[in-house]
Amino acid sequence: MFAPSESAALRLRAHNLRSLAARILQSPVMDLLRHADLTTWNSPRAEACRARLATQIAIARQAADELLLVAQRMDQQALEIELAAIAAGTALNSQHHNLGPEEFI
Amino acid sequence: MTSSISRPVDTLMMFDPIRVRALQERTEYCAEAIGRISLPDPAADHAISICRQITSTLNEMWLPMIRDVLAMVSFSAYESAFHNQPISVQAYDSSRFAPRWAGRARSAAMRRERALRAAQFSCAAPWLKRAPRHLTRWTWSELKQPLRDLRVAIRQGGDITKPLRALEQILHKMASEAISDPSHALLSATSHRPEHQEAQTAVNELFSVLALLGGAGLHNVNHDATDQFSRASQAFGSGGAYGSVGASTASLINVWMSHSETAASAPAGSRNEGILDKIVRNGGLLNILSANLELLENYQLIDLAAGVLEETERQKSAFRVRNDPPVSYAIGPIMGEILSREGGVALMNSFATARLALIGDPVAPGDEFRATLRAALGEGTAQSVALNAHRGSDTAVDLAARVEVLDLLRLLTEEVETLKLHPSVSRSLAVALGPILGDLLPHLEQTGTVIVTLLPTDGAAPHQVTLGSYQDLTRTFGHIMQDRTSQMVLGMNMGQVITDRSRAAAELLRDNPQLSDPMRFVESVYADNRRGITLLNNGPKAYEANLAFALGLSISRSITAVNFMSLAIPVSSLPISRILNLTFPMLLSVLGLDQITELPSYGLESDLAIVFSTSALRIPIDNPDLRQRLGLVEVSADTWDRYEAIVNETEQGEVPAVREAKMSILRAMLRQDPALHGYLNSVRSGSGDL
Repeated sequence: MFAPSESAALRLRAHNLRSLAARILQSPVMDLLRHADLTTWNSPRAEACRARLATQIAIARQAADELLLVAQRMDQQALEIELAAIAAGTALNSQHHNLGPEEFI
Repeated sequence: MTSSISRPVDTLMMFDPIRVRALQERTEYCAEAIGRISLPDPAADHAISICRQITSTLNEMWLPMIRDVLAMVSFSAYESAFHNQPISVQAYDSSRFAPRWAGRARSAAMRRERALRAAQFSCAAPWLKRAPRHLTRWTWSELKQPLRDLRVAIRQGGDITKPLRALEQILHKMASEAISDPSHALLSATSHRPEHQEAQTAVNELFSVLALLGGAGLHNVNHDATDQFSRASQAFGSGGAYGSVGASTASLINVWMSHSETAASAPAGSRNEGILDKIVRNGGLLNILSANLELLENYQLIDLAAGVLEETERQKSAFRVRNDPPVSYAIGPIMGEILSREGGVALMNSFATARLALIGDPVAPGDEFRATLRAALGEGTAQSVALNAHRGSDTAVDLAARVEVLDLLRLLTEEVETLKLHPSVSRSLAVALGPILGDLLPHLEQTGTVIVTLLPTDGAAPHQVTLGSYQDLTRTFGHIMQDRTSQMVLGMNMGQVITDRSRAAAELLRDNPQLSDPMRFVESVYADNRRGITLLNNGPKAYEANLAFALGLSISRSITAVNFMSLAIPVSSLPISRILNLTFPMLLSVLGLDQITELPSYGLESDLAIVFSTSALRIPIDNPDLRQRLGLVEVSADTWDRYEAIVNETEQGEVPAVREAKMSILRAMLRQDPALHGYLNSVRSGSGDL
């Protein structure tokens, strides 16, 4: 069974996107706000720091989720390409089976 | 991608300088970590852009503000503490600031927060504003005026020398009374009586005043005040009396550190030496550190304390350390705490610091047994430590030293029920046991009397020492294991013994391929190791489920299977899965985990978990043949490359936060990889029965 290079490339991209999502979600910055609460500092400027980072972390989480979705779609595409290749191979084989033995000689 | 970051001016600022300093380290690390994320794929552009924005926020918004805040700690924290207020700074920037007292609390949340602040910065406010209830006989009327003068001088930036001097005289008198009054000796021991608790609260306030005076003394070098502090500390002993002083002491030392960093009047080297000298001379501060070891969570304080120890040795002032009870009493616990932390462990290799750890804990004079033991431990065991420190070389441990240590162990085993084992004794013994653990392990049968046979290296007749029954020995080690530092030292020693024996066994196997039953030989080595760990685990009331021991063990890199592999033993000659089943359960028996995915993220357990996971992964990484034998053929080469990278990074010495982060990444990777997950779980759940 062979996998077309296009599907392999898609699977590699999907793998890389998943790794990226994991790196973002596991990044220590996701936990930073816990260490910067009111018991650490409090002022309008500190609140502005917290608010900006909280917004960006929420966007980053969404972006990571989107990466996982894109990766899933890429895997699906790769699977479709591989299935199509298998189907094409089967059709070719059955076409060969329909040939008479004398035509191979 | 860039973003515009606004920097609003604060009108009111409250902060905890210690937490903010920790936040600075964490923010810098986060900025670096998120800044490294990249992927040249158009589908990732949006995500990468968000990462860049976060990096920008941290570098251009968070870190400048943190630096601004820390730049003013040296004044505002100090001044605010005198008023029992949270730190308050109005309209500041990096070039100017105007301190202001926090306004009226307008909400319950604000009041709660202020109460928290007041607790964190437990300080001398009651002493500055009113007479303490239980210390009125200590010349409060004399104390009131100089305290008021001091407060005014500090607020108005005036000369504080005169009120300080007046205070010192009074405090000297107070400390003398405290020392001469026998009733105060009961303060630390009888905290169950309400009047004593109240008196102790008042004493805490006294310590706070003295601590703050010590801080003021930085500007007007004032050893007398800190000397009084030492004397008062000595009078009340360590423990509860220091409890509420810890936070203000951390603030104080931060003030000192900040002052040394920002003062432009002296070269950096002399400033640092000045601070080191000041703290070395200040037994009271060392006492506070030793009684509030959680302060050493602050990396700066670890550096400072380690620097003090090194400096002490460098100046050849060991004699003074030995003969100055407050200093020497304090160094032991600090030393232990530093040793138990990553980064400080390297100090254990230093003979100088090991010796300081030994002489750092004097036992009470007047007790004949302890005095004898102290002399033996201070002199004889120092020799063992010296040998211990050099055991990596071919230096043979002298028979007399081994006999001496075993005699001490026997003596302790006989007396352990009648003696309350002093930490200094158990720590010293834990260190001294290093060279003789290898002699001890084969003789630890669980029935009958434990008799150790020592074989001299010069061919002389063997020497036997009878240690007592196995149960007695278990009890003795149980007492030793109640002290965290001793536990960790024992763990390191045990790990070293296991490593040494495994390496020797592996070399023997390598050099003798014709050995008929290699597995039986390996199992005999593990049986000895198992006996040692069983003995230590059987002790009563072991500290925190022996986690410190586990840490010591893991630090010693006693992953024996790795040692076998590192010596390139042919895989075919040893059933590797059997080795794994024998080795890891022994290590993890002290961890008590059920699932590898539940490995803890923080603390000592995390350290052990990291060592376990990375070591277990390390085994098959470079060996395709072994991967096949372990059923890991389905894991791709690319995945192995990624594992190798993260394992290499994790094994390198790094701050705990970095290791935690990498452990999180590793855990996430394992979750995505069922084959590896299964492998680690099968390693973890091996029977280990011998």
